[in-house]
Amino acid sequence: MILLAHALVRLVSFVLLVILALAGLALAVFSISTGTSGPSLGGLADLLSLASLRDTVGSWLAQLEAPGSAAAIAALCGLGVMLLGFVLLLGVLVPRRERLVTLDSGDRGMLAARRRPLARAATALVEQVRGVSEARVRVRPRRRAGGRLVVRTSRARSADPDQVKAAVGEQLRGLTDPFQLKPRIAVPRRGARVE
Amino acid sequence: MPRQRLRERTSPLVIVGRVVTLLFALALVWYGLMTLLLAVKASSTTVNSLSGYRTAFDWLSGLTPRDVDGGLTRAIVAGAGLLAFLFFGYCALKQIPRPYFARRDLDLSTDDRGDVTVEPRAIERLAEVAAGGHPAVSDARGRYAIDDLSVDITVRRARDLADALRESQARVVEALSRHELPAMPVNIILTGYERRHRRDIQ
Repeated sequence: MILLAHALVRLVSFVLLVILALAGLALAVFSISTGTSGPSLGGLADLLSLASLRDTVGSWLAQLEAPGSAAAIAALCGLGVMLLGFVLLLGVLVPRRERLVTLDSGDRGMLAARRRPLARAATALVEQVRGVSEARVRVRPRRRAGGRLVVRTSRARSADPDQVKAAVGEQLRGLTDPFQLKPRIAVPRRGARVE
Repeated sequence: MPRQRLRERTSPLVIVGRVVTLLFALALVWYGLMTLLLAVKASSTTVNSLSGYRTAFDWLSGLTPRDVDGGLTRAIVAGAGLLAFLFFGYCALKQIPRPYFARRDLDLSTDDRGDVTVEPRAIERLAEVAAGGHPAVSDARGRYAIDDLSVDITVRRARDLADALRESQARVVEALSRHELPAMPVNIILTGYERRHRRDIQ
């Protein structure tokens, strides 16, 4: 689905830019003279039959605005157009490649990490903290560099949540500082009895 | 050649096409919704106040040749049209994909006696051995392309991860230099974390 959306975006981008370029060229050429004949804007309107298009669209809009039963075909067209729009939005906004968390990027090359192994490494570090019985870590990379490290830990009943939070933050410093990750640590109270 | 890799050269102007498509997609969603509202017989006044569809249609319908026949108006329209043609035409050309095979033999020298080439797998193996020599790296997999050399690594230690990546890159760069291969960008990507026990003492 995403691959199809990306392919569609490529095609639509190209077609739209070609249409815009040709429309600009047509406007420039048909601005040479005045009136409604020859290379004039009035002549362009005649050539494109804009008068009949206006009448067709006008009567269609009037039908649509008139009271009565719902227009099924127009509703379907509206839904279809919305669906196409959503597919295009998906193709534009969803990144093509997996987004990496970048540590460094320069002439020598790039140092980066995939989200899951980084999250697993962070989980392993968090689970070493005294008072933590279970941890779940998610990495959300930003578009350019850095990202957010969302940590959710379960603590032992006896552990102080503030102390656990501070210790987890300290433990993760080796990952968060170099990778420009902003930690968000939640220590909800859970009933774990063992660490 | 086995394991061929296809890449494409992209221009920064691709972003223009994406922005145009984004605006087009938003317009499709918005006016599709307006059509749907009109089709289910929502008040046309409300729909017009939301989207201005009727106002825009009436304004466009009321245009006559006399409105655009002025010398200054035509000059502005012609100038804008020409600029639009040049800009969007150039951007359209830049949208066309330019693929190329990225995994080729590396030519070191050519003379009367023949060619000296290095196969991609040899360079990849060199990078894998160099990166895998780091104590924190349990597995390394190289991917050579004519633009860069990427090494996917799996680590066994969570601590000092950034240093492990930096040192692996330095090791690969040093190995390329030691084997008199041309310098190239070396990308080190952490793709795996090997966890031996639930709680590793590291």
